[in-house]
Amino acid sequence: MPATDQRKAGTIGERVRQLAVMPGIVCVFVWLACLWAIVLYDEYYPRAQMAKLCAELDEAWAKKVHACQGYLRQVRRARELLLSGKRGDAIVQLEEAITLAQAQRVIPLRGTRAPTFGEILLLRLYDEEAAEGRSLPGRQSFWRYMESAYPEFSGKYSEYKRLWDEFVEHVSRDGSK
Amino acid sequence: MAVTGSSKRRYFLALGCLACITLVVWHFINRSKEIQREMCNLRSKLEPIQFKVFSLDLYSRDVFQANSLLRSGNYKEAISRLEDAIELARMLGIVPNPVLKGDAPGDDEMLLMSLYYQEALQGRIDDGVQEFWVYMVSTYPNFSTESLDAWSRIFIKRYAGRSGTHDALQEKAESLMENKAR
Repeated sequence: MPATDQRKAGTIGERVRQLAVMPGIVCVFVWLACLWAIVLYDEYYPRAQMAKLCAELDEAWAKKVHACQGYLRQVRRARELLLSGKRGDAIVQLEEAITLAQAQRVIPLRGTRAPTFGEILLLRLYDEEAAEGRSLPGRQSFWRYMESAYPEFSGKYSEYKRLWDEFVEHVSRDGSK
Repeated sequence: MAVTGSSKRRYFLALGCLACITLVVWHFINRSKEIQREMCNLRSKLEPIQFKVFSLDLYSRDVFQANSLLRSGNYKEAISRLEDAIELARMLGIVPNPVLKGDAPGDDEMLLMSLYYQEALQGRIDDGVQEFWVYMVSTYPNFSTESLDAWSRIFIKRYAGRSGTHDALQEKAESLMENKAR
């Protein structure tokens, strides 16, 4: 073999040997990178998930409070209408507020004996309308809803009304003393 | 021979890298699933606690504002604020107080009832009092017209020594009680 050929073969052999060593280094780097990725992932992923969970819980709570406050605002508006003598408008306002709150799953209240003040007020307004000989179309379905949502309350509603009358009598008697 | 040996080595090293990457991906997927599961468990435990803590915080702030209004003599506004605070707290599930198990009203409910009562005794039956009355009677079986005077007195006594708190209400209620006694 001529000398140039021998030199060429040596160079090729050297290059091949170098190439054989290179993947080893690459492999070590890959392993190290993988270990680093695992450490980083285990460190930061739970933290990121926890922050996400907290943000979701905050949002859920804020959403519920917002819905409740919306309902309370509507009930207050209905009361204002009632005070200004617009009973019909107050009833419509209350009906809308209650339907929306039901859709937002804010009412009926779970685990309590009494309905919300808005529901009690609507019940009272329906009764007042009925006493004046005007039976409104929503009255029956609302009463059915009350019976299913608050059975204990509905069963004793007439008794509560009697107790209210007694209270009014009591304060008017004691107040005039 | 050198070429064949290095090719084998490269082949095994590439295989090693691939295994390593697979292992990492597998770890990521596995850990992600595990963390999601843990987060679900945590959510179910954390949600009611967080709801309660946030709601109690909001409620106490509202009641504090109502008390401030009361101290400044703004009864109408105080009643309205307290009413909203109690209704919101009921909707958020922190009133009636679960510790009292519905046996007795909480201080803030009693405060509102006393305010209503004092107003009613002066001939002003406030807007909203009927609903609140019905709520009190239906929620607390021991609560009645007959017991309201006693409740009111107990309530005033309870707050008698507390500086600054409910002073205005206390004075007003005491003067009314004196008038009644006379």
